[in-house]
Amino acid sequence: MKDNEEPPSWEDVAREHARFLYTVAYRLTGDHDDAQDLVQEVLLRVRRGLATYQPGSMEGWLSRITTNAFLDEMRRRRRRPADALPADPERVLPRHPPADEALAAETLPADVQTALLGLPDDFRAAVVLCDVAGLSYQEIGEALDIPVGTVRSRIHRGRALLREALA
Amino acid sequence: MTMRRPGDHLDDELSGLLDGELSADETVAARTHLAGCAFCMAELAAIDRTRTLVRSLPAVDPPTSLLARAAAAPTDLDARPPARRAAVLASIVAAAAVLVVLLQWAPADRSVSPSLAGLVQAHATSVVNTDPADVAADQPPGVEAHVHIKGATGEAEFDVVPVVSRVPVAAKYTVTTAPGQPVADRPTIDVEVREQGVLAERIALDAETGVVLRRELYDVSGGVVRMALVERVRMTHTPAPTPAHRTAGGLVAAPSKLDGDYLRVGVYRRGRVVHMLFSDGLHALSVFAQAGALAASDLPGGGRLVRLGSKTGYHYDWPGGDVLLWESGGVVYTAVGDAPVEDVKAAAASMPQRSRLSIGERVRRRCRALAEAVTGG
Repeated sequence: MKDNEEPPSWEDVAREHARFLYTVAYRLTGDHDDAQDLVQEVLLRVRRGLATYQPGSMEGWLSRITTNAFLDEMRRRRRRPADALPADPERVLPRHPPADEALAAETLPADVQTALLGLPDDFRAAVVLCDVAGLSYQEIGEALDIPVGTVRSRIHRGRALLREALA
Repeated sequence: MTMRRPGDHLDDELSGLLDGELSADETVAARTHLAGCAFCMAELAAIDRTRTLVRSLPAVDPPTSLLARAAAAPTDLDARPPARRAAVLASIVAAAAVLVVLLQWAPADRSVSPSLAGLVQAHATSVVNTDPADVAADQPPGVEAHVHIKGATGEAEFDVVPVVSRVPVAAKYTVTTAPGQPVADRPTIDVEVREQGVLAERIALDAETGVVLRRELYDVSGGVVRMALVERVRMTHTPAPTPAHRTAGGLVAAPSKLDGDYLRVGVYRRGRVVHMLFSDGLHALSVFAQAGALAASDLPGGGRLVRLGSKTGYHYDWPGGDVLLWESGGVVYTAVGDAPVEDVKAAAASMPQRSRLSIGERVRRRCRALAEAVTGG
């Protein structure tokens, strides 16, 4: 994508960035159904938002949309306590994936993913954006609308909790 | 962010340091603290390990139904987004730029800070035309060359007396040869090196002398990781460095073989440094040894923690390969290699250790045990 070209169509975005989007979504949600729903929501927002996209970091922009959609969903779930993520990591083991997704799922380092799911949402978002999406603290701060110092704190808290969970 | 009083342990500065996100002042403060605090050094290692675990999570392919549902063309699902690969590369480069500091473990009877640039130069300009028995140092090396190396982390140029190894090509490599294109106006033999069937390297050898004139190292997807090209060649009679005595001054044992079929082809003394040179028939590996304790504060930035067998060391990039640095039993070792990094690590990790445990080693072992206890490693 070059600066002097028209904005990409949302189909192009979907096709070219599907793997990136899906990876971030799956690392955030730990569940193929939720990841698909999240990517659907992201693509809807991409479709609505493409007109305002400024040529630059497409993946930074997509990460921002993905994270906001994820956090919106988490806020929505919090109003329905039955669906809230339990604090106990033992209880958030991913469900068995459907047969057609088993191949993808069985190659995942499940322990790390499980530990990620045990993190509070805010910490998980910061860690995933840093270590999975590869964003800078500045970009993460903009995506989450928090100061850079808070980004650093959340990433570090998140990593410290992961370390305990993986011990 | 937390406010920290002087003397308190580091907190989220550790993640900031690993991510290369500290300001210059914060970096200096964190490094200064780390140099005197074994607890924080172990914390840094543990957080670094956790961070690496998350960063190593594989990409996840979306189910084919996803894009169908999104009404996008479902025919090209497994095409990798090029930008993702660029991002991965960028994160690797960023990781290479992370500052990590060495803790000065031992009560320094003599502290040592290896001159990495100097040792890299010594490696790159090595003469290896001797047989494995450390003889024939009087043989003329035959060729002097100007080499230009282009790697993921930058470029470098050296005037070198290149490695002419008479060590047989290690059995781990599958090698095929064919007549090659001339390099620097000299006829060559084209050597393809495969590991498990995948093209890992392509090497152009000077047809007359066997000197490596061009070397391309590939990643698994066929991309060039780095390339070394000889730009000028001239015949010469540069003498070899003086071989050290077998005992190498009683300082270190120079093993005849390292893991990965690296055979010792020479041991040299360069001032206070003993230079052991190994070859697997295709790659050279230099291991430099000097007595003393590692001087943390004098090392350059850009190093990363690395596990070398049971030891923890530091990994630096140079455009032609990798530099590993570790201390063991009152000796500071620096390994410089141009093979794939995992091979260099395995060979370095197989260097024999001294049996006597220094205070520094005991402290380090305790820290390592702590790090492993909290990371499950």
